[in-house]
Amino acid sequence: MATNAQESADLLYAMRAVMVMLGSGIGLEAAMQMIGRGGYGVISKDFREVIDNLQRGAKLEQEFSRLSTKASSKGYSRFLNTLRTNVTSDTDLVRALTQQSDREEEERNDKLADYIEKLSGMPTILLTFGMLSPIIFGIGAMLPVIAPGAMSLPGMGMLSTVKALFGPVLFITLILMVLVGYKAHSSDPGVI
Amino acid sequence: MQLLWNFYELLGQSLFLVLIVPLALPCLAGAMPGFLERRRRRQLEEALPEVLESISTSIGAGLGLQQALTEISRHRQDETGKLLSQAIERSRTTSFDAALAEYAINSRSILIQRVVNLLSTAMEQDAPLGEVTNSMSVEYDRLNKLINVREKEMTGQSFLILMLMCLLLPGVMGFMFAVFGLAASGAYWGDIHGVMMPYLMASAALSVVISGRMLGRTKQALWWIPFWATISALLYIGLFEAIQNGMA
Repeated sequence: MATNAQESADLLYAMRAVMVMLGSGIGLEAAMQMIGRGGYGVISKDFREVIDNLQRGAKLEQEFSRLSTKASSKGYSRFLNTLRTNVTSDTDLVRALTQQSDREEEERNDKLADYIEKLSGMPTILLTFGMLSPIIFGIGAMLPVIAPGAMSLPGMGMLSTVKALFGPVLFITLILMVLVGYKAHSSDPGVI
Repeated sequence: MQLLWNFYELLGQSLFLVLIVPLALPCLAGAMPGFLERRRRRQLEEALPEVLESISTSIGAGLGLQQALTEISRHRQDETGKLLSQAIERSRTTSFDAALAEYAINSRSILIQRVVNLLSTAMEQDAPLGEVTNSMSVEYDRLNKLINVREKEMTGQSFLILMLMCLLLPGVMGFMFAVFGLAASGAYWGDIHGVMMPYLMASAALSVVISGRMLGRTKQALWWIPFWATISALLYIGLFEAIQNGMA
């Protein structure tokens, strides 16, 4: 089963292509065959399967219902339901698809704006992590070199431990930075 | 010559730096084709709405699709014009459909391949090509704008990450350690550099991956890792040594 991101990636392109074809008087089946030829990711794969099943005697509305139930993304499911409604009730498909693709475009813009907002603080967070650890532990680690006299003061012996911890602490900092940076991947809306 | 020896000496401060410096130039050369290819592909895609609009106008004036494309290929001096001329030239020996398919393949753009696919279906179905190309022109113009939004919005952020993590961080750390360390000139710094340089190189690599992911081009960004890691480590150690030598 395709994921939400896989379905959403090419949905708008497929919707617009179907819209253009139907608007020029080309039938739904020819438009589906065109999508099924490839270039629209999982949507092409699904439509190819539908065309194959139609040739085996399946009903178009049932195929759309089956795909709609299987769909992971709301947008794709809505698209398939609109196609199914057109087959069963002969609705104005071009108008419905225009409205739906405008809505999809708006949703994409919102998702992208959300992604941009989520990542806006990342450069500063990474720099803060990247700078603080070496400063705090680096100065501690260097103190025996910078001010050897200070080492004779009571309680300063622990600084030698700080020096030994310098490498592991920087390694942990790197792991924290990876976790912060992973947000750039995990929150990607999947829109091109 | 002395400068070169000093440079070698700088590199010798970290084994990681010694290993990654020879990789920096070949990887930089590896990054260039991807960068140029992407620019070429986007140029072709950006020209698509205009080309479709011209086809629609020519068809409206009574020309056929082949004549319309010939006309466009004559007038356009850019990459689209070149590819179309090639396709038209080829169509004299093969068929027009085969030439169109070749144009789509040579463009290496999925957007153009979709358009050609749509055009072929419209021709098969005897649909009004003028109307089809006009609608496609409007739609692809909107889709192009949508594609550009991410690029435009994220470029600044990804550039900022690179600048902060690959230049500012090593610069500040090199400066700070050198200034703090002045009081103890002649002391052994190998331990600190031995940890700091791999750390700075790893954080530069991480920043390159994150900035590439932000733009949706992680694989392409991987080629830049050795370059930025080298710059980061060299900036740190170079600044440190320059301040230590200058103020000693």
